[in-house]
Amino acid sequence: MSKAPEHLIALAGNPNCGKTTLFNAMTGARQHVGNYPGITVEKKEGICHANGSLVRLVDLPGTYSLTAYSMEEIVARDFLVQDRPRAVINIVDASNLERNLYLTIQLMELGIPVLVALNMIDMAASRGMEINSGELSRRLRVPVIPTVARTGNGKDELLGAAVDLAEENPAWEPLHISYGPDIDPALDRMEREIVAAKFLTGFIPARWTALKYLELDEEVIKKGRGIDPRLSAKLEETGEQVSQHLQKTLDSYPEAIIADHRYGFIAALLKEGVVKQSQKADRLFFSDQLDRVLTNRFLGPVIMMLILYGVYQFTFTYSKIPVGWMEAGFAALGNLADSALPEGPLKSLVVSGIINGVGGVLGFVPLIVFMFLAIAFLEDTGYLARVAYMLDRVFRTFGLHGSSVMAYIISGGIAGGCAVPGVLATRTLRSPRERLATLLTAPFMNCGAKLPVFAMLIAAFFAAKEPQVMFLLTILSWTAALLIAKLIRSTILRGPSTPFLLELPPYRLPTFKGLLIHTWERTWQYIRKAGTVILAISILFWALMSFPGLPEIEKRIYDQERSSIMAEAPEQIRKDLVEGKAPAGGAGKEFEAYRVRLQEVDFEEAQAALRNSIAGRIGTALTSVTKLTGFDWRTNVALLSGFAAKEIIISTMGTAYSLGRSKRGEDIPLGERLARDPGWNPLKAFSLIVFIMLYAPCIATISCIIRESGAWKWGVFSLVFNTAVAFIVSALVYRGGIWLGLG
Amino acid sequence: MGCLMLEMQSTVCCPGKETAKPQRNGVPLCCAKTGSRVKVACVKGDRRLCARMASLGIYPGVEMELLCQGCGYPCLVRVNGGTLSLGGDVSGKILVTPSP
Repeated sequence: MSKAPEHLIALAGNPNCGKTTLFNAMTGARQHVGNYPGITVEKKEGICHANGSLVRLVDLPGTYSLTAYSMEEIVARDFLVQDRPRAVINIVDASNLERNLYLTIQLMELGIPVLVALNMIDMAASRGMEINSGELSRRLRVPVIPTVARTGNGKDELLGAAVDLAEENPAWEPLHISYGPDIDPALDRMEREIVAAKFLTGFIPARWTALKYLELDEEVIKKGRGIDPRLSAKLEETGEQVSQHLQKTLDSYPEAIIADHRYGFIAALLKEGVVKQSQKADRLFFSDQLDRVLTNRFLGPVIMMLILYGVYQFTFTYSKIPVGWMEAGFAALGNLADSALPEGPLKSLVVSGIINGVGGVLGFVPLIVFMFLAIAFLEDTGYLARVAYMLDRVFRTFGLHGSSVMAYIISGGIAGGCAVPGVLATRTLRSPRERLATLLTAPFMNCGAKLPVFAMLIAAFFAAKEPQVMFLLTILSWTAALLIAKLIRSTILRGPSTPFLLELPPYRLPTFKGLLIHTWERTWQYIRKAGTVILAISILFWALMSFPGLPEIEKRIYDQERSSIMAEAPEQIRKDLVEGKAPAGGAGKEFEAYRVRLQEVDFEEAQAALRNSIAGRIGTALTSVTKLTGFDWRTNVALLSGFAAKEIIISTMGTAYSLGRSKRGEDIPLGERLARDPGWNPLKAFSLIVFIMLYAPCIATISCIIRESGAWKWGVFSLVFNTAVAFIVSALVYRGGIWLGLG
Repeated sequence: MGCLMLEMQSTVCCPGKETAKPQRNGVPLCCAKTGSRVKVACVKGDRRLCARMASLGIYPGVEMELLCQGCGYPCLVRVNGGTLSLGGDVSGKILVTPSP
């Protein structure tokens, strides 16, 4: 490509103003989603062409202001100040001009070249509002372009104007607003001091810094203290004086006076001829009528339960088929590697370590696609905000947030979910403490991978009461998750609940393109993860369970056993056994008997090898502790392998119990084997179920926890803490049961 | 309907421009009548909350419609063109007077 000029342009605006829709309309699929370093706020970038220039478009998180009240605001502000885009497209919801312009004013006070996209003018028009965009542009002295993001109306004009502005590259020119006699003199004085000291003036206009000192903006003050502690102290002192003076004379804060003057400025902007409001304004809009039903005191929760159940059904029913394809695909790949590679550690590594490990993780992909699609739909329609609104009071009792319910349900709140998408679903939570508490407790839910283990144990030990036990387990996991959330929120994540302030956007039909883009970008992030960390850890677990292997002497014993069986067999059958194909006719039965005997030796060898492996040794060593919960070394090894993925527990137990076939050649299912084992009883089984329900999340989940919380320590925490909780609870169950005479 | 009177230790008010003196005769938003139009008299609470509410469009002098005064959920108000839900911890700190 020839050297087209490249411009960095940012999109800023309130949440729900149609910013992302416009961004999607302008960039299409040419976008990239990452995270801002260290935090979970998504950073979206896209590329598009306009007027022969290449535009790098950054979609900033939705914010109501440019102060430091939330992660989103800090991110948006830092980007503007540090990356210095050539222009900012400020998207303004035309049907809520006053509040949206509050951000515009602050952008203009920062001085960055702004142009305004007057979005959703169709909606405003349907509400009887007529906006004279030319007049607004003249008064604001910035370009104002009407747009309809959903249809893409006006987007080319907007991009063109943005490129023009970027090419013009005007210097930053801060807007001056008068804040009245109580603030202006102090502001002027601070501004002079800042200019004289050249304090941050390379980045930020002096007046803006002064304003932030008055507003007690923690981020700016922290930065200021690092650069020039003396001046910073002086500015802080001035701010304090102004604040005290205002509290004494007006019984008010500087922020309140500043906000008041900004709104006054906006009111003056909109007066006389910019906005014309016809009588239609008071009628009830469709969205409000919908809300009367959907958030009705009695009907609302019922409908919500149905919708959440629907999401769950959608995610897990429709993903079954593609999940099956993935499983079949990886199984085929495993078989291919099995036949192509020579016997030995390399084959074992490729098949058991890499293909099974990564396959187990990528197998979740279809599930995640469907879950994200469902969530994107609920989010884009505006219903998710209503769910948070309706459930907030209940969840607040446990230190969580209304939106936490989504993560719980997806994780297996209705048995059979998956904690991986569940943890990712916490992205819809805005408040950090509640979000962390939710993503740490969501893995307590009964995910689909725990279910086969439960089903096996329940069938073996509680055969007559399957549904009741399953229901009991669901109740148990909710109770555990909520109580532990409460515990976490009143200890390590102590702190007041974030005040519940949520905008309920009007219901909208999402665009198909938007849904697909949202779903794809989130899924891709997950896939990338699987290729790195999870692969490494699967290999680690494979090594733990395969090495050091059996000593040569023991191996020779098993080999001898096999050769003696082979020696017993008649010539023809021996040949068939070596070739591995069963003869037809009467010889088949005899062949089968020998084959089973050989297999038993293999299974015994596998069991011995597992016991001798590092994992086996750890499992054996742990028995001194796990006798409190009633687990023997076999169970311990199986639980260890469950760190890799819960469904592996069954196969490891199978190996540990050297599952083979009975003398008559029929399969003995693991459940039956356990039920017959004198060392097992229903109490032990229940203690194990409780442990599996609560203990450390699988690797895929832990890596998501680390990624979503932005810190390794929370991954380690969930590993250690959950296992400790599981251990305590199941020890109580087991010891309590024995005490009650149930064992 | 039960009214959730929250503790109101903070005495500082955020007066609007029109009110030279802080108005103390308002009732907390969560105690106003559902469906009524109200005018914000003052936002109690700390500086942060005050400024956050302002950025959401709730500041002294603003008129809004109380869509739902709690009903077991957070409060629901319509300000300008938008609908906001405010938890009990917030709605108890917004004092309002009936709007003419």
